[in-house]
Amino acid sequence: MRVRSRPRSLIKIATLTAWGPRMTSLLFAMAALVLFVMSFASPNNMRTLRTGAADMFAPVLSAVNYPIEQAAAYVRAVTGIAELQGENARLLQENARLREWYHAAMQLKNDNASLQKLLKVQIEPQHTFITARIIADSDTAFVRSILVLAGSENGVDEAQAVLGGEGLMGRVVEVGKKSSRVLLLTDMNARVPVFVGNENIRAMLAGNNTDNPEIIHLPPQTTVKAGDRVTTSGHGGLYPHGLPIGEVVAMSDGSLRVRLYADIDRTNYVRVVKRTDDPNLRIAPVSVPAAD
Amino acid sequence: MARRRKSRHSGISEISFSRRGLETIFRLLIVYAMLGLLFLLNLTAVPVPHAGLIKPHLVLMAVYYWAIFRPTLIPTWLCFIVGILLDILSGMPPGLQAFVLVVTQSLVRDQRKFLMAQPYISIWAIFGLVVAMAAAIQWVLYGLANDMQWLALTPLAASVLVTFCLFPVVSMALIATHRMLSPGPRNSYS
Repeated sequence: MRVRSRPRSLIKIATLTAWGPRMTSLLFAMAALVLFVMSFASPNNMRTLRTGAADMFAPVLSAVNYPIEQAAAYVRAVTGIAELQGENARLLQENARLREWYHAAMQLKNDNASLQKLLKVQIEPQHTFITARIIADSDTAFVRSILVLAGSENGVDEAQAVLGGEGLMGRVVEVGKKSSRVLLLTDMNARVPVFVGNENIRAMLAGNNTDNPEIIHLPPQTTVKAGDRVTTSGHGGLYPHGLPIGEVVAMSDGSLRVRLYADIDRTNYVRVVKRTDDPNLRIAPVSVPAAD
Repeated sequence: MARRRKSRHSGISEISFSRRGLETIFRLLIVYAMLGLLFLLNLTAVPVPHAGLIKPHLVLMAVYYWAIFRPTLIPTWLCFIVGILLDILSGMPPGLQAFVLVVTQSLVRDQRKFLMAQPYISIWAIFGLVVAMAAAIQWVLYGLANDMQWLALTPLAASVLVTFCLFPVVSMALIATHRMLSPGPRNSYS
């Protein structure tokens, strides 16, 4: 009987297989742990690798995402609530338009108050945006971030603010050619300098991996009450000034948290704010209202 | 005396360019296409509120299943690479999922003999244990690395529950691809 010799392996890690499968697993597990620790020690090392991988997978992910969105839309239509949806969509659109004007009006009111003190400030034109679709929701319990289908080819740059729906949603942290990663405000590591309330109290918004971030670093002897509006202050130069974020709400356990204007779960498209150095830019509504 | 081969089944290392080899490649491609689909589904955004929080760990299901029935299909290095890719594309620090997948594959593979003889319901129950362990490892590692800032357990528990409940659905698809693989030589247990 002819003894069949083992065909040549494609993988010639001869020493590893000689040691045995347990040793191989141990080696890979150790390598994974070392990578993990290293990535916390120096986060910048993996940057090109991550953006490269995200770029590579972006078209595939958006292709896989598309049928899921279509299926969800189909299910909603088939269950016969399409008409209600139409009316609802119209009302939501009108509401969104009105809320944009509400934010603009609040901002104008604040400006008016500070201008009365200063007497001479120039009002500059508005920000410009890049619209992008969310393709991957990397919202695990550990990291809150999303992948959007716009990269350096579309003009996205690192550290640009990202708006979803009505309010600030996060910040671009990694930029590839075709895709970018956005770190959400609700992530544990997100910190935004903000103004709270009508008196523009300086504070910091800190995410804590829940849906409602908290406010930290309030100056002593200041009180914040529920209903106060939270906007970006622009301090530190990272976020533009005047972006709406949310409002303060009292949680059931008595602590004060922020309810975000941006509805992360229902957003499919985000706007990336193009970065300029002009501190006087403000957010104006996208659509001009018809003459009523 | 005939030489005993390490494994009688076809795996990545046994690809050759004969006709039977090409057939094997084709069948293996189907298996890996399934794995790739699960990987992509694990990453995409589903437009349902809080979908991201309770995302089932589909890749872990595939690794668990193949580690029991055909460990040669997912060798350790493949688990490592898939884990790193999953980490990178999810925005998590690379190495977390890789560690979990490699450890799962090695532990389950060691217990193959016992597990293969179990009825399906036991395999499912033990998968529950595996998922809980994987979640615990991730929670501990992430908390340790983030200066002892421990995360809330409720969303994690919800994700474990969803993964556990979705296992029968995914394993049905995996069993279908398993049946498409070429049968091993006659005198093997499959």
